[in-house]
Amino acid sequence: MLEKKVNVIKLLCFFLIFFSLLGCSVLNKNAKQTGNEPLVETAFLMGTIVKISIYDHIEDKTIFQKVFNRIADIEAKMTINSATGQSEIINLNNAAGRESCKFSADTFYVLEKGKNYSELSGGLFDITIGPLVKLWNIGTEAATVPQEAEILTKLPLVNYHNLILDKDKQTAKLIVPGMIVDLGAIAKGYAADEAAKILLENGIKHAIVNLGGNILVLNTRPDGSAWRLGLQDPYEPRGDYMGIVNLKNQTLVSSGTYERYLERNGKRYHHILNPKTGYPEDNGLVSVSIITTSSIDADALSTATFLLGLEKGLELIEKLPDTEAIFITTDKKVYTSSGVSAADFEIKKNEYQLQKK
Amino acid sequence: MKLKKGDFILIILLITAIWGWFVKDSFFLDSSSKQAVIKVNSEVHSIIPLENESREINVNLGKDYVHVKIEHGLVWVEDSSCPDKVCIRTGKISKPGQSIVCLPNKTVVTIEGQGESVIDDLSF
Repeated sequence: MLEKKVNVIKLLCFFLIFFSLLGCSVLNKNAKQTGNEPLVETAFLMGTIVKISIYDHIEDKTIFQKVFNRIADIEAKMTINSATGQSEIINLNNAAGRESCKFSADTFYVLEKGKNYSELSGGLFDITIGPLVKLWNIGTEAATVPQEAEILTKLPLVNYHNLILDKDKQTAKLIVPGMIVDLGAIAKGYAADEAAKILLENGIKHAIVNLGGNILVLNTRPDGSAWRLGLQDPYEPRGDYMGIVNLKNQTLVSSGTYERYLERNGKRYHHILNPKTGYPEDNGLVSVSIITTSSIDADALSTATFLLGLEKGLELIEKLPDTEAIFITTDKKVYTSSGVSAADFEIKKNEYQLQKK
Repeated sequence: MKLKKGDFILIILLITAIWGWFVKDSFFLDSSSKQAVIKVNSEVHSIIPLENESREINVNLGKDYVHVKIEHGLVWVEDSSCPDKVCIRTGKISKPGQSIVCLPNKTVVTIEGQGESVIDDLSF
Protein backbone atom coordinates (compact mmCIF):
# COMPACT_ATOMS: atom_id res chain seq x y z
CA MET A 1 0.00 0.00 0.00
CA LEU A 2 2.73 2.38 1.02
CA GLU A 3 4.83 1.29 -2.00
CA LYS A 4 1.93 2.10 -4.30
CA LYS A 5 1.56 5.58 -2.92
CA VAL A 6 5.26 6.22 -3.41
CA ASN A 7 4.92 5.05 -7.03
CA VAL A 8 2.01 7.38 -7.67
CA ILE A 9 4.00 10.26 -6.23
CA LYS A 10 6.96 9.30 -8.45
CA LEU A 11 4.70 9.29 -11.46
CA LEU A 12 3.27 12.69 -10.54
CA CYS A 13 6.77 14.07 -10.08
CA PHE A 14 7.70 12.72 -13.53
CA PHE A 15 4.74 14.50 -15.10
CA LEU A 16 5.46 17.70 -13.23
CA ILE A 17 9.08 17.72 -14.41
CA PHE A 18 8.02 16.79 -17.95
CA PHE A 19 5.55 19.62 -18.16
CA SER A 20 7.76 22.18 -16.52
CA LEU A 21 10.38 21.38 -19.18
CA LEU A 22 7.70 21.78 -21.82
CA GLY A 23 6.80 25.03 -20.16
CA CYS A 24 10.37 26.21 -20.44
CA SER A 25 10.48 25.51 -24.14
CA VAL A 26 7.19 27.34 -24.63
CA LEU A 27 8.50 30.33 -22.69
CA ASN A 28 11.75 30.29 -24.66
CA LYS A 29 9.81 30.38 -27.89
CA ASN A 30 7.88 33.39 -26.66
CA ALA A 31 11.11 35.11 -25.69
CA LYS A 32 12.48 34.56 -29.19
CA GLN A 33 9.34 36.00 -30.74
CA THR A 34 9.54 39.14 -28.67
CA GLY A 35 13.16 39.39 -29.85
CA ASN A 36 11.82 39.89 -33.37
CA GLU A 37 9.25 42.40 -32.25
CA PRO A 38 10.42 46.01 -32.50
CA LEU A 39 10.65 48.54 -29.74
CA VAL A 40 8.14 51.19 -30.77
CA GLU A 41 7.63 54.72 -29.52
CA THR A 42 5.33 57.40 -30.89
CA ALA A 43 5.06 61.15 -30.48
CA PHE A 44 2.84 63.89 -31.88
CA LEU A 45 5.08 66.23 -33.84
CA MET A 46 4.88 68.32 -37.03
CA GLY A 47 1.10 68.07 -36.88
CA THR A 48 1.15 64.30 -37.22
CA ILE A 49 2.09 61.02 -35.53
CA VAL A 50 5.75 60.11 -35.54
CA LYS A 51 6.42 56.42 -34.96
CA ILE A 52 9.91 54.97 -34.57
CA SER A 53 10.26 51.16 -34.62
CA ILE A 54 13.67 49.76 -33.71
CA TYR A 55 14.30 46.07 -34.42
CA ASP A 56 17.84 45.90 -32.99
CA HIS A 57 18.46 44.92 -29.42
CA ILE A 58 19.13 48.16 -27.57
CA GLU A 59 19.93 48.95 -23.96
CA ASP A 60 19.66 52.71 -24.15
CA LYS A 61 16.13 53.80 -24.90
CA THR A 62 17.01 57.51 -24.81
CA ILE A 63 17.62 57.12 -28.56
CA PHE A 64 13.88 57.61 -29.08
CA GLN A 65 13.93 60.93 -27.24
CA LYS A 66 16.99 62.04 -29.22
CA VAL A 67 15.08 61.45 -32.45
CA PHE A 68 11.91 63.16 -31.19
CA ASN A 69 13.93 66.16 -29.94
CA ARG A 70 15.55 66.55 -33.35
CA ILE A 71 12.18 66.45 -35.12
CA ALA A 72 10.74 68.95 -32.62
CA ASP A 73 13.73 71.19 -33.36
CA ILE A 74 13.04 71.00 -37.12
CA GLU A 75 9.36 71.73 -36.50
CA ALA A 76 10.19 74.77 -34.36
CA LYS A 77 12.36 76.20 -37.15
CA MET A 78 10.07 75.51 -40.10
CA THR A 79 6.45 75.66 -38.93
CA ILE A 80 4.02 78.35 -40.03
CA ASN A 81 1.52 77.41 -37.30
CA SER A 82 3.58 78.06 -34.19
CA ALA A 83 1.79 78.72 -30.89
CA THR A 84 4.49 81.24 -30.05
CA GLY A 85 4.14 82.94 -33.44
CA GLN A 86 7.86 82.42 -33.94
CA SER A 87 9.88 80.30 -36.36
CA GLU A 88 12.51 80.97 -39.00
CA ILE A 89 9.88 80.58 -41.71
CA ILE A 90 7.33 82.79 -39.91
CA ASN A 91 10.02 85.47 -39.63
CA LEU A 92 10.75 85.17 -43.37
CA ASN A 93 7.04 85.49 -44.17
CA ASN A 94 6.61 88.47 -41.84
CA ALA A 95 9.53 90.20 -43.55
CA ALA A 96 8.06 89.64 -47.05
CA GLY A 97 8.58 92.68 -49.28
CA ARG A 98 10.89 94.27 -46.71
CA GLU A 99 14.11 92.47 -45.84
CA SER A 100 16.09 89.28 -46.10
CA CYS A 101 16.45 86.85 -43.19
CA LYS A 102 19.30 84.67 -42.01
CA PHE A 103 18.71 80.92 -41.70
CA SER A 104 20.05 77.90 -39.90
CA ALA A 105 21.70 75.31 -42.14
CA ASP A 106 18.62 73.06 -41.72
CA THR A 107 16.07 75.55 -42.91
CA PHE A 108 18.22 76.93 -45.70
CA TYR A 109 18.76 73.42 -47.07
CA VAL A 110 15.02 72.72 -47.08
CA LEU A 111 14.27 76.09 -48.71
CA GLU A 112 16.85 75.35 -51.40
CA LYS A 113 15.43 71.87 -52.04
CA GLY A 114 11.94 73.33 -52.11
CA LYS A 115 12.92 75.89 -54.71
CA ASN A 116 14.68 73.21 -56.80
CA TYR A 117 11.54 71.11 -56.89
CA SER A 118 9.44 74.17 -57.70
CA GLU A 119 11.68 74.66 -60.76
CA LEU A 120 11.73 70.95 -61.65
CA SER A 121 7.92 70.79 -61.70
CA GLY A 122 7.54 74.02 -63.67
CA GLY A 123 5.95 75.69 -60.69
CA LEU A 124 3.23 73.09 -60.08
CA PHE A 125 4.94 72.32 -56.82
CA ASP A 126 5.58 75.76 -55.34
CA ILE A 127 6.86 76.37 -51.83
CA THR A 128 5.38 79.87 -51.89
CA ILE A 129 1.87 78.28 -51.92
CA GLY A 130 1.27 79.69 -48.40
CA PRO A 131 -1.29 82.42 -49.28
CA LEU A 132 -3.58 79.79 -50.86
CA VAL A 133 -3.06 77.28 -48.03
CA LYS A 134 -4.00 79.97 -45.51
CA LEU A 135 -7.06 80.90 -47.57
CA TRP A 136 -8.46 77.35 -47.66
CA ASN A 137 -7.18 76.28 -44.24
CA ILE A 138 -7.99 72.64 -45.03
CA GLY A 139 -7.37 70.44 -42.00
CA THR A 140 -7.99 73.22 -39.53
CA GLU A 141 -10.97 74.66 -37.70
CA ALA A 142 -11.12 77.58 -40.13
CA ALA A 143 -11.39 75.36 -43.24
CA THR A 144 -13.57 77.00 -45.85
CA VAL A 145 -14.24 77.19 -49.59
CA PRO A 146 -13.01 80.69 -50.49
CA GLN A 147 -14.72 83.08 -52.86
CA GLU A 148 -13.34 83.02 -56.38
CA ALA A 149 -12.38 86.70 -56.04
CA GLU A 150 -10.30 85.93 -52.94
CA ILE A 151 -8.46 83.18 -54.79
CA LEU A 152 -7.72 85.50 -57.69
CA THR A 153 -6.17 88.10 -55.38
CA LYS A 154 -3.87 85.46 -53.84
CA LEU A 155 -2.71 83.74 -57.06
CA PRO A 156 -0.10 86.40 -58.02
CA LEU A 157 1.53 86.01 -54.60
CA VAL A 158 2.34 82.37 -55.36
CA ASN A 159 5.56 82.46 -57.36
CA TYR A 160 8.76 80.77 -56.23
CA HIS A 161 10.80 83.05 -58.55
CA ASN A 162 10.16 85.78 -56.00
CA LEU A 163 11.87 83.79 -53.27
CA ILE A 164 15.51 84.87 -53.48
CA LEU A 165 18.11 82.62 -51.86
CA ASP A 166 21.68 83.62 -51.12
CA LYS A 167 23.69 80.49 -50.48
CA ASP A 168 26.90 82.26 -49.38
CA LYS A 169 25.13 84.35 -46.77
CA GLN A 170 22.52 81.67 -45.96
CA THR A 171 19.81 84.28 -46.32
CA ALA A 172 16.47 84.39 -48.10
CA LYS A 173 14.02 87.09 -49.06
CA LEU A 174 10.45 87.20 -50.31
CA ILE A 175 10.19 90.05 -52.80
CA VAL A 176 6.44 90.75 -52.71
CA PRO A 177 4.57 91.73 -49.53
CA GLY A 178 1.99 89.10 -48.57
CA MET A 179 4.02 86.17 -49.90
CA ILE A 180 4.11 83.11 -47.63
CA VAL A 181 6.51 80.18 -47.78
CA ASP A 182 4.95 76.88 -46.65
CA LEU A 183 7.31 73.93 -46.24
CA GLY A 184 4.44 71.56 -45.42
CA ALA A 185 5.04 69.43 -48.52
CA ILE A 186 8.73 68.88 -47.86
CA ALA A 187 9.70 69.40 -44.20
CA LYS A 188 8.40 66.01 -43.00
CA GLY A 189 10.60 64.30 -45.57
CA TYR A 190 13.61 66.18 -44.26
CA ALA A 191 12.69 65.27 -40.68
CA ALA A 192 12.50 61.58 -41.64
CA ASP A 193 15.97 61.77 -43.21
CA GLU A 194 17.36 63.44 -40.08
CA ALA A 195 15.67 60.84 -37.84
CA ALA A 196 17.33 58.09 -39.87
CA LYS A 197 20.69 59.84 -39.57
CA ILE A 198 20.45 59.90 -35.77
CA LEU A 199 19.43 56.22 -35.64
CA LEU A 200 22.42 55.25 -37.82
CA GLU A 201 24.84 57.40 -35.77
CA ASN A 202 23.67 55.54 -32.69
CA GLY A 203 24.41 52.14 -34.16
CA ILE A 204 20.86 51.20 -35.16
CA LYS A 205 20.82 48.94 -38.19
CA HIS A 206 17.22 47.82 -38.52
CA ALA A 207 14.45 50.33 -38.01
CA ILE A 208 11.42 52.01 -39.55
CA VAL A 209 10.73 55.74 -39.34
CA ASN A 210 7.06 56.56 -39.92
CA LEU A 211 6.41 60.28 -40.05
CA GLY A 212 2.68 60.63 -40.55
CA GLY A 213 2.64 57.97 -43.25
CA ASN A 214 5.99 58.93 -44.79
CA ILE A 215 8.03 55.76 -44.43
CA LEU A 216 11.79 55.44 -44.31
CA VAL A 217 13.40 52.05 -43.63
CA LEU A 218 16.95 51.40 -42.43
CA ASN A 219 18.55 48.49 -44.28
CA THR A 220 16.48 45.29 -44.24
CA ARG A 221 14.49 43.32 -41.73
CA PRO A 222 16.81 41.71 -39.14
CA ASP A 223 16.67 38.44 -41.15
CA GLY A 224 17.94 40.18 -44.28
CA SER A 225 14.64 40.15 -46.16
CA ALA A 226 12.97 43.30 -47.52
CA TRP A 227 10.64 45.32 -45.31
CA ARG A 228 6.99 44.95 -46.25
CA LEU A 229 5.03 48.20 -46.26
CA GLY A 230 1.30 48.37 -46.71
CA LEU A 231 0.08 51.00 -49.16
CA GLN A 232 -3.09 52.62 -47.84
CA ASP A 233 -6.32 51.89 -49.74
CA PRO A 234 -7.49 55.45 -50.56
CA TYR A 235 -11.13 54.46 -50.13
CA GLU A 236 -10.92 52.59 -46.80
CA PRO A 237 -10.14 53.53 -43.20
CA ARG A 238 -6.53 53.96 -42.15
CA GLY A 239 -4.77 50.60 -41.92
CA ASP A 240 -6.60 48.97 -44.81
CA TYR A 241 -3.97 48.51 -47.53
CA MET A 242 -4.46 47.85 -51.24
CA GLY A 243 -0.97 46.50 -51.84
CA ILE A 244 2.43 45.78 -50.34
CA VAL A 245 5.65 47.56 -51.29
CA ASN A 246 8.96 45.84 -50.52
CA LEU A 247 11.73 48.19 -49.46
CA LYS A 248 15.41 47.93 -48.61
CA ASN A 249 17.14 51.05 -47.31
CA GLN A 250 14.56 53.20 -49.11
CA THR A 251 11.76 55.62 -48.44
CA LEU A 252 8.11 55.49 -49.48
CA VAL A 253 6.03 58.66 -49.41
CA SER A 254 2.44 59.04 -50.61
CA SER A 255 0.37 62.11 -51.45
CA GLY A 256 -3.33 61.66 -51.84
CA THR A 257 -6.72 63.29 -51.82
CA TYR A 258 -7.97 61.06 -49.00
CA GLU A 259 -5.85 62.26 -46.09
CA ARG A 260 -6.96 65.80 -45.45
CA TYR A 261 -10.03 67.30 -47.04
CA LEU A 262 -13.04 69.50 -46.47
CA GLU A 263 -16.62 68.61 -47.41
CA ARG A 264 -19.04 71.37 -48.40
CA ASN A 265 -22.41 70.95 -50.12
CA GLY A 266 -21.64 67.34 -51.02
CA LYS A 267 -18.36 68.22 -52.71
CA ARG A 268 -15.00 67.13 -51.41
CA TYR A 269 -12.07 69.57 -51.42
CA HIS A 270 -8.72 67.92 -50.67
CA HIS A 271 -5.53 69.63 -49.52
CA ILE A 272 -3.30 69.37 -52.61
CA LEU A 273 -3.79 72.80 -54.14
CA ASN A 274 -2.81 73.67 -57.69
CA PRO A 275 -0.82 76.94 -57.49
CA LYS A 276 -1.93 77.92 -61.01
CA THR A 277 -5.69 77.63 -60.38
CA GLY A 278 -5.88 78.06 -56.62
CA TYR A 279 -8.16 75.02 -56.32
CA PRO A 280 -7.57 71.41 -55.22
CA GLU A 281 -6.13 69.49 -58.18
CA ASP A 282 -8.75 67.38 -59.92
CA ASN A 283 -6.95 65.28 -62.52
CA GLY A 284 -8.29 61.79 -61.94
CA LEU A 285 -5.54 60.79 -59.53
CA VAL A 286 -6.34 59.74 -55.98
CA SER A 287 -2.75 59.15 -54.85
CA VAL A 288 0.89 59.03 -55.90
CA SER A 289 3.55 57.13 -53.97
CA ILE A 290 7.25 57.71 -54.50
CA ILE A 291 9.97 55.15 -53.79
CA THR A 292 13.51 56.52 -53.57
CA THR A 293 16.48 56.86 -51.23
CA SER A 294 16.00 60.26 -49.61
CA SER A 295 12.75 61.17 -47.93
CA ILE A 296 12.93 64.91 -48.63
CA ASP A 297 13.02 64.10 -52.37
CA ALA A 298 10.19 61.58 -52.02
CA ASP A 299 8.06 64.07 -50.08
CA ALA A 300 8.47 66.88 -52.62
CA LEU A 301 8.11 64.51 -55.60
CA SER A 302 4.89 62.93 -54.33
CA THR A 303 3.20 66.34 -54.33
CA ALA A 304 4.91 67.48 -57.55
CA THR A 305 3.98 64.35 -59.53
CA PHE A 306 0.45 64.41 -58.16
CA LEU A 307 0.04 67.93 -59.52
CA LEU A 308 1.76 67.07 -62.82
CA GLY A 309 -0.76 64.28 -63.34
CA LEU A 310 -0.28 60.73 -64.56
CA GLU A 311 1.43 61.31 -67.88
CA LYS A 312 3.79 64.17 -67.06
CA GLY A 313 4.36 62.82 -63.56
CA LEU A 314 5.54 59.46 -64.93
CA GLU A 315 7.70 61.27 -67.47
CA LEU A 316 9.47 63.17 -64.69
CA ILE A 317 9.97 60.04 -62.54
CA GLU A 318 11.54 58.14 -65.46
CA LYS A 319 14.17 60.88 -65.81
CA LEU A 320 15.28 60.70 -62.17
CA PRO A 321 17.83 58.13 -60.95
CA ASP A 322 16.79 55.54 -58.29
CA THR A 323 13.29 56.96 -58.23
CA GLU A 324 10.08 55.02 -58.82
CA ALA A 325 6.39 55.83 -58.47
CA ILE A 326 2.98 54.20 -58.06
CA PHE A 327 -0.03 56.17 -59.33
CA ILE A 328 -3.61 55.28 -58.35
CA THR A 329 -6.53 56.83 -60.25
CA THR A 330 -10.02 57.53 -58.96
CA ASP A 331 -11.31 54.49 -60.90
CA LYS A 332 -8.78 52.25 -59.09
CA LYS A 333 -6.38 51.80 -61.96
CA VAL A 334 -2.75 51.46 -60.90
CA TYR A 335 0.21 52.69 -62.96
CA THR A 336 3.84 52.15 -61.99
CA SER A 337 7.12 53.53 -63.31
CA SER A 338 9.39 51.18 -65.29
CA GLY A 339 11.56 50.16 -62.34
CA VAL A 340 8.74 48.76 -60.19
CA SER A 341 8.76 44.97 -60.60
CA ALA A 342 6.12 42.48 -59.50
CA ALA A 343 8.49 41.54 -56.67
CA ASP A 344 8.67 45.15 -55.44
CA PHE A 345 4.95 45.79 -55.39
CA GLU A 346 2.12 43.29 -54.94
CA ILE A 347 -1.48 44.40 -55.29
CA LYS A 348 -3.62 42.72 -52.64
CA LYS A 349 -7.10 43.78 -53.72
CA ASN A 350 -8.77 42.59 -56.92
CA GLU A 351 -10.59 45.82 -57.60
CA TYR A 352 -7.23 47.54 -58.14
CA GLN A 353 -6.04 46.84 -61.67
CA LEU A 354 -2.39 47.16 -62.58
CA GLN A 355 -2.18 48.75 -66.04
CA LYS A 356 0.30 47.47 -68.60
CA LYS A 357 3.21 49.76 -69.31
CA MET B 1 3.20 -1.76 -8.96
CA LYS B 2 -0.46 -1.48 -9.72
CA LEU B 3 -2.38 1.71 -10.01
CA LYS B 4 -5.97 1.92 -8.93
CA LYS B 5 -8.71 3.39 -11.06
CA GLY B 6 -8.69 6.51 -8.89
CA ASP B 7 -4.98 7.07 -9.54
CA PHE B 8 -5.51 6.97 -13.30
CA ILE B 9 -8.35 9.46 -13.08
CA LEU B 10 -6.18 11.71 -10.97
CA ILE B 11 -3.28 11.50 -13.43
CA ILE B 12 -5.49 12.12 -16.47
CA LEU B 13 -7.13 15.08 -14.78
CA LEU B 14 -3.72 16.46 -13.93
CA ILE B 15 -2.42 16.01 -17.50
CA THR B 16 -5.55 17.60 -18.95
CA ALA B 17 -5.30 20.52 -16.57
CA ILE B 18 -1.64 21.14 -17.37
CA TRP B 19 -2.20 20.68 -21.12
CA GLY B 20 -5.11 23.07 -20.93
CA TRP B 21 -2.93 25.65 -19.24
CA PHE B 22 -0.49 25.66 -22.14
CA VAL B 23 -2.95 25.64 -25.01
CA LYS B 24 -5.46 28.09 -23.58
CA ASP B 25 -3.64 31.00 -25.24
CA SER B 26 -4.12 29.58 -28.71
CA PHE B 27 -7.82 29.11 -28.05
CA PHE B 28 -8.26 32.66 -26.85
CA LEU B 29 -6.28 34.01 -29.80
CA ASP B 30 -9.20 33.16 -32.05
CA SER B 31 -11.51 35.81 -33.54
CA SER B 32 -12.49 36.67 -30.00
CA SER B 33 -8.99 38.01 -29.39
CA LYS B 34 -9.69 41.22 -31.31
CA GLN B 35 -9.52 44.26 -29.11
CA ALA B 36 -9.75 48.00 -29.48
CA VAL B 37 -6.83 49.87 -27.97
CA ILE B 38 -7.35 53.55 -27.27
CA LYS B 39 -4.20 55.60 -26.83
CA VAL B 40 -4.03 59.23 -25.81
CA ASN B 41 -0.74 61.04 -26.39
CA SER B 42 0.94 57.64 -26.96
CA GLU B 43 -0.20 56.30 -23.55
CA VAL B 44 -2.74 53.47 -23.33
CA HIS B 45 -6.08 54.88 -22.19
CA SER B 46 -8.16 51.70 -22.42
CA ILE B 47 -8.25 48.21 -23.98
CA ILE B 48 -11.66 46.79 -24.85
CA PRO B 49 -12.26 43.25 -26.23
CA LEU B 50 -14.54 43.47 -29.27
CA GLU B 51 -16.43 40.18 -28.96
CA ASN B 52 -19.97 40.69 -27.69
CA GLU B 53 -19.04 44.06 -26.39
CA SER B 54 -21.33 47.05 -26.60
CA ARG B 55 -19.74 50.01 -24.99
CA GLU B 56 -19.26 53.72 -25.11
CA ILE B 57 -15.98 55.13 -24.01
CA ASN B 58 -15.71 58.82 -23.39
CA VAL B 59 -12.11 59.93 -23.59
CA ASN B 60 -12.03 63.02 -21.41
CA LEU B 61 -9.32 65.56 -22.16
CA GLY B 62 -10.24 68.53 -20.02
CA LYS B 63 -12.42 70.67 -22.27
CA ASP B 64 -11.82 68.32 -25.20
CA TYR B 65 -13.25 64.84 -25.69
CA VAL B 66 -13.41 61.86 -28.04
CA HIS B 67 -16.51 59.70 -27.80
CA VAL B 68 -15.77 56.12 -28.99
CA LYS B 69 -18.54 53.56 -29.57
CA ILE B 70 -18.17 49.78 -29.85
CA GLU B 71 -21.00 47.57 -31.10
CA HIS B 72 -21.14 44.15 -32.85
CA GLY B 73 -17.38 44.12 -33.42
CA LEU B 74 -17.41 47.59 -34.99
CA VAL B 75 -15.59 50.57 -33.57
CA TRP B 76 -16.16 54.20 -34.47
CA VAL B 77 -15.86 57.74 -33.16
CA GLU B 78 -19.37 59.00 -32.48
CA ASP B 79 -18.36 62.51 -31.52
CA SER B 80 -15.24 64.55 -30.96
CA SER B 81 -14.38 68.09 -29.97
CA CYS B 82 -11.75 68.34 -32.74
CA PRO B 83 -12.14 70.98 -35.44
CA ASP B 84 -11.50 68.75 -38.48
CA LYS B 85 -13.74 65.72 -37.59
CA VAL B 86 -11.45 63.43 -39.60
CA CYS B 87 -11.89 60.81 -36.87
CA ILE B 88 -15.69 60.79 -37.27
CA ARG B 89 -15.47 60.69 -41.06
CA THR B 90 -13.12 57.68 -40.90
CA GLY B 91 -16.25 55.64 -40.17
CA LYS B 92 -16.43 52.16 -38.66
CA ILE B 93 -13.42 49.91 -38.33
CA SER B 94 -13.38 46.19 -37.49
CA LYS B 95 -10.23 44.56 -38.87
CA PRO B 96 -6.91 44.13 -37.06
CA GLY B 97 -4.46 46.84 -38.11
CA GLN B 98 -7.14 49.42 -38.88
CA SER B 99 -7.13 52.60 -36.87
CA ILE B 100 -8.90 55.86 -36.31
CA VAL B 101 -6.74 58.89 -35.64
CA CYS B 102 -7.78 62.17 -34.05
CA LEU B 103 -4.68 64.32 -34.45
CA PRO B 104 -5.99 67.43 -32.68
CA ASN B 105 -6.90 65.35 -29.61
CA LYS B 106 -3.80 63.13 -29.93
CA THR B 107 -6.07 60.11 -29.71
CA VAL B 108 -5.61 56.89 -31.68
CA VAL B 109 -7.97 53.91 -31.70
CA THR B 110 -6.39 50.75 -33.14
CA ILE B 111 -7.82 47.26 -33.57
CA GLU B 112 -5.35 44.62 -32.47
CA GLY B 113 -5.57 40.91 -33.04
CA GLN B 114 -4.40 38.12 -35.28
CA GLY B 115 -3.66 38.80 -38.92
CA GLU B 116 -2.05 42.19 -38.51
CA SER B 117 1.56 41.08 -38.84
CA VAL B 118 1.66 40.68 -42.65
CA ILE B 119 3.11 44.17 -43.04
CA ASP B 120 5.79 45.94 -41.02
CA ASP B 121 4.21 49.39 -41.31
CA LEU B 122 1.83 51.47 -43.40
CA SER B 123 2.36 54.29 -45.92
CA PHE B 124 -0.53 56.72 -46.21
